[in-house]
Amino acid sequence: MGRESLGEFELQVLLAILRLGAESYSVPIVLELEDKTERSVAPAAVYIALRRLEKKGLVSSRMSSASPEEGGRPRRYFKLTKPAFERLRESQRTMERLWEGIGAVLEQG
Amino acid sequence: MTNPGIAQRLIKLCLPQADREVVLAELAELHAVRSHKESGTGVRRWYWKQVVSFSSRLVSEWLSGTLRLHVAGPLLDRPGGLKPTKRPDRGRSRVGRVVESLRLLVADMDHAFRALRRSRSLILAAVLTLALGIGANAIVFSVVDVLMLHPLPYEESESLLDVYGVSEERGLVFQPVSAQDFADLRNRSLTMEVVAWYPANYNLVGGGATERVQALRISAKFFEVLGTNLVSGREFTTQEERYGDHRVAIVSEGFSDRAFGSGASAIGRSLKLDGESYTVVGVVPGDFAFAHNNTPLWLPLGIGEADDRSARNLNVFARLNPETNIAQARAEVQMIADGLTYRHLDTNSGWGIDVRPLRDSLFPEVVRSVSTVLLVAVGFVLLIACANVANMMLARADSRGRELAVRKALGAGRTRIVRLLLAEAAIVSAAGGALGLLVAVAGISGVLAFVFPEPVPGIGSVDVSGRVLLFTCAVTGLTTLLFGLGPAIRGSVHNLADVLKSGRQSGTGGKRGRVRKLLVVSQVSLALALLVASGLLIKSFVRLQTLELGFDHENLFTFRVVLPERGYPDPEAVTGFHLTLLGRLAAIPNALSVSGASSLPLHTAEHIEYLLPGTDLPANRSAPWVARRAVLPDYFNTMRLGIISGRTFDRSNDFATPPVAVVNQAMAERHWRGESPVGQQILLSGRTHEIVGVVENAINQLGPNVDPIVYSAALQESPSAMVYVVRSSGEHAGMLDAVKHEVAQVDPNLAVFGSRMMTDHLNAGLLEVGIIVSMMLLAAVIAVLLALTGVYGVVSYSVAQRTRELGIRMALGAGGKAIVALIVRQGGLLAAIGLGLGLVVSMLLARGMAGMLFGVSATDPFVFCGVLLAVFMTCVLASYMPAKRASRIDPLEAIRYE
Repeated sequence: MGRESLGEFELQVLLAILRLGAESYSVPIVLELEDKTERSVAPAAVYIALRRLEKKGLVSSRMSSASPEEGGRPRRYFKLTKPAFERLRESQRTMERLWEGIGAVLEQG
Repeated sequence: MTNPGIAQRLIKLCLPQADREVVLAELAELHAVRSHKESGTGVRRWYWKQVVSFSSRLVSEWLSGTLRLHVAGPLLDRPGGLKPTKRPDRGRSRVGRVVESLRLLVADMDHAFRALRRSRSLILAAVLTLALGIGANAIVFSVVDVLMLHPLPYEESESLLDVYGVSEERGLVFQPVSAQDFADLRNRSLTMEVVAWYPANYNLVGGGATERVQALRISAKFFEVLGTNLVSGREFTTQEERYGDHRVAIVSEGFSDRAFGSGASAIGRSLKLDGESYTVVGVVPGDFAFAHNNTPLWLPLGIGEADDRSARNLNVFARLNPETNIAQARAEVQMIADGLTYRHLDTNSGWGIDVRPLRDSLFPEVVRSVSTVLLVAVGFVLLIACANVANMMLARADSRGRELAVRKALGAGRTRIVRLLLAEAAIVSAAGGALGLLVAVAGISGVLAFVFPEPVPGIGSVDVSGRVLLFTCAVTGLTTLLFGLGPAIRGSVHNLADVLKSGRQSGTGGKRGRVRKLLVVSQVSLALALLVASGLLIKSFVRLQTLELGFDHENLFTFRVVLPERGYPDPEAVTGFHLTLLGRLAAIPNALSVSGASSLPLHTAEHIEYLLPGTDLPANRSAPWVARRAVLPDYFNTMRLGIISGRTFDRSNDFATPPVAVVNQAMAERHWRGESPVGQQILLSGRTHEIVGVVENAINQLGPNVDPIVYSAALQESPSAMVYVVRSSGEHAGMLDAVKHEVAQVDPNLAVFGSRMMTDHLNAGLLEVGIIVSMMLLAAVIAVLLALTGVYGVVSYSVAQRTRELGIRMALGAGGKAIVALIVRQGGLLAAIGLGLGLVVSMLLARGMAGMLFGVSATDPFVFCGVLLAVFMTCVLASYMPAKRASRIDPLEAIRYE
């Protein structure tokens, strides 16, 4: 059985979660993505991507009990699962292979 | 800082239950972050953008997800895979083929969503247009649903029948039945359980004040037949229906709480009605309603020995016994009625009995015809909306000509492209349907309150029912087909070679243009029909308002008093009261003149049998009927009703003098054309009256007809129920108190009720007509606006297409005016064809509404010409705007334009 493909946006979300570490719930993810991609990011897109990733078994989530210092708001924190790390590594390797020796070509173009 | 409440609710609606709180909290947080950077309106706009973003993404995710997961997924080799690596075998099993088509459906939907997201503003316009059409349909359907389809709020209400008297030769139908006939019917019927009622009201003395209470007098088993259980106590017995044993009462819970204190048992307590003591034997539930009223008080029929069969005053209804049907019941009552005619020739000759569903008696014919016309009207609006959307989709299909051609070249079959376009149409109409339903939910209570100012049983609780939902779904499906199919088929014929050859302006050949023009033509014709219909209604409304009433309705204060039999046992006591009260009323400051009548114009008048001496009645014919009004002295002066010849009544026309009558002009023309009726004789209910005068016609009911009326002298009739009229000098603020004071001076046990200004009474009647007119006008205005956008769209589209041609024309010397004329001529031609067709549709529609029109013919040339001209001018205007734009084209740019 073939593996489901990973979209570009899903990949970006996974990386954002990795960068944020323990603080990764959707608000910082949105802000992080906006910051790094320099584009506006729709919260709905992030929400759906996270749901998909969870369904694919690439992220897991836990609900935080709403503590008063967090403004009493419930949050859903995400972290990467083992297969996600494998997939990211694999994706990185593929990209690196593809990029090999291309830098110079780009400079010329 | 608060998040917009509605926006929040909308997001909540499309989120799964488990995620709602978290997502809203996180959005709030992002919202807070934004509001540090941006202004208030910017942040609010941002939040609303999230609503759109969430709902569109979630709906598309949900749609493809559900189909994929629950339908196609389990059956597919590759779960979740939308793009198979190889085509499945055509020859596979049937299941395989179903799975394949489902998979394609999912793919189509997925695709359609993405395609639609690309042209958002166009889609938004289409969805809004559809929502308007579907919403209007859902609202009107809800009203019609209530009127014609909704069951009555009684158990198994479909087996409840209205039983009524018919006299074909007198042209009377839906008449009440006499007490004796009712009793015979009840005893003989084997197909149904028969009960009867009639309204009455009483002076209730209690707590030092006299109040007028509405009551219904009912037969035994009344509540049993309706399927209503009493809260406590029992129903009346057949014995208690007899006058003399009738002093028992059933009260409503609300009445019981008011009269005896809440919580106290009412059973066994006594009530003082018209000076008589009644014992409460039962209590009905507070929410029970009958005949459009939450009646507080129920009394037995009180049938006297003297009541004869010609006194038809009972409303009768019945419940079919199990396993009988309405046809059997009809056959049976007709047989019973024939038997009664045979045995009681003097009273029952020419009278039959018939049945119909009880619902029909509560919602009369006119209400049904009005709802049908409204349904047709909003149906037209929906058709026009569909045509508009179809036009938009066609334009879109054209602009995608290249894309579709490439798809086709790459191997997409024709059916596949049709399916893709149909999927788009389905999504747009589903969105329109959903939004339309929201419009309906929001508008429905308002419209219902507007249509039924007074509560009708079972209607207060009306909401968007399952039936309305079903209806909306059906309408939505239909609209998909209506506006989707055309573009879909057109879109599928793109040919790559043609498209690429002719560049951007391709795929927009004559054929496609013709379809769009055809759509606009039909829009214009439907809009014209609606506008003509509302024009006719408006004209009849105006006619009604300026109706020649025949009397002066300004500054007329009216109120009612009913004298109980107990305090006023003989005619002398009754007339004595009337004369005393008249005298006291005349002394009220501001009262110019006072009088009274058994009924007033615009109220229902009683009808009696009459005969002219010397005319022979054929053996098989019964006497004709005429409206009769018993009036007190000075009536004609008070109403300002002109006297044509002879005299009217005065105080000398009492029991001691021979009976006299006054007829109106219509009656005089009916029988004494060319000669004076004064001095002639007329038999009214068997008594000979001498006609002493002729007065001008005054209308009896809001309508085109002036009925013949006979006036008799109230002092010779002594009617115990009287409507008093006081003509004031204009100042009537304290009139009610003054009147109450005077009545109490004569008899403190009498209640004054039904007080209102004649003008208000007239306006209430006009209001009903006004509601229909305004709803119709609203539909017509929406229709015309949609049709105008259609004209505008098509003309601007053709301007855009002909840019190059127009540029060449201008380069060759055509002036701006010539260009404008060229384009406007095109729009005008479309409008003219549409109007020609529309005339035919209008005439059909107008003929269907002939019964609703008043004083206007269904082919009123003024209305037809006026509306025709108005629609034509606006159509020309709608095409002038793009034409003006076209005339400003720079020829050089236009030629380069691609």
